Amino acid sequence: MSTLKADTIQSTGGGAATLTKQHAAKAWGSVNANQSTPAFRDSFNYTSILDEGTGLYEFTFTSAMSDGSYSATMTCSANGSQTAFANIMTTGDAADSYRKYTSTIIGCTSWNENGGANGDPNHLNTLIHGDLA
Amino acid sequence: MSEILVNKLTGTSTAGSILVTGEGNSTTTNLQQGLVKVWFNYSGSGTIAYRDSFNCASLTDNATGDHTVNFTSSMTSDDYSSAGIVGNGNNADTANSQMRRGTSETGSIRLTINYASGGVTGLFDYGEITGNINGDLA
Repeated sequence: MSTLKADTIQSTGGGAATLTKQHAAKAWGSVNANQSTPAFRDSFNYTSILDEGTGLYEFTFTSAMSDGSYSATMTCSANGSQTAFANIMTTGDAADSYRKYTSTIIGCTSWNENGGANGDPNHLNTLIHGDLA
Repeated sequence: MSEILVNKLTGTSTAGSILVTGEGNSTTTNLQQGLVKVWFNYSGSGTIAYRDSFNCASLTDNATGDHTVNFTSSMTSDDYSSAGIVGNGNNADTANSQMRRGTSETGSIRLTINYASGGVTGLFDYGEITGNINGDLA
């Protein structure tokens, strides 16, 4: 089997190399939000998470995206009984919904279905696909 | 366009770390960190079984709406990120369905599959269960 050893891969023009029919994630994170200060268990390309209230969070990228049109997948689950769980309701909030989906930050709201209100989940997971700046 | 034909990529400074230039040409991103490490599509209805998967070994049916996906190659810790969606593959399914993360281990993840409809919640074996894992391989 041949092995190519390199530290950085670019196109011949100095830009992004083409990974044929594949796209790598540009950010991901696993967060424990069910504590006084939410914290990453592990993450990639996130520099911080801001607690904006119960069930409200704002993530900041280390390396920015090209714009706000990237794909964001977020899931969460709450502690407690098996049927008590949480949803990601929206990527914004009533105060500044569209500001929360920019090239540098993304916000989300976690909703506790059983409690009928925003909730802080034990597991908050995020995954971002799109173009880096 | 130049093209390199090779079966394996390895970093020269750190074997498991290769940088690739981003789409905007102004920054780099880590190739290994961006790659999904596990993905799966399985049916939880009846005898649960993968339709297709990557880096998945056996699938365990613990109980109704309670499944364990076992990995072929383990993760370095249980701190990985997980995401997924579930459903029955038809538009008539109006219940709010969700995959909930249960016990996470380096070699597996336990999932509980819930529904919520009209204030009623419970566990259910959905026919379409898909998900992925991002993080560090051992």
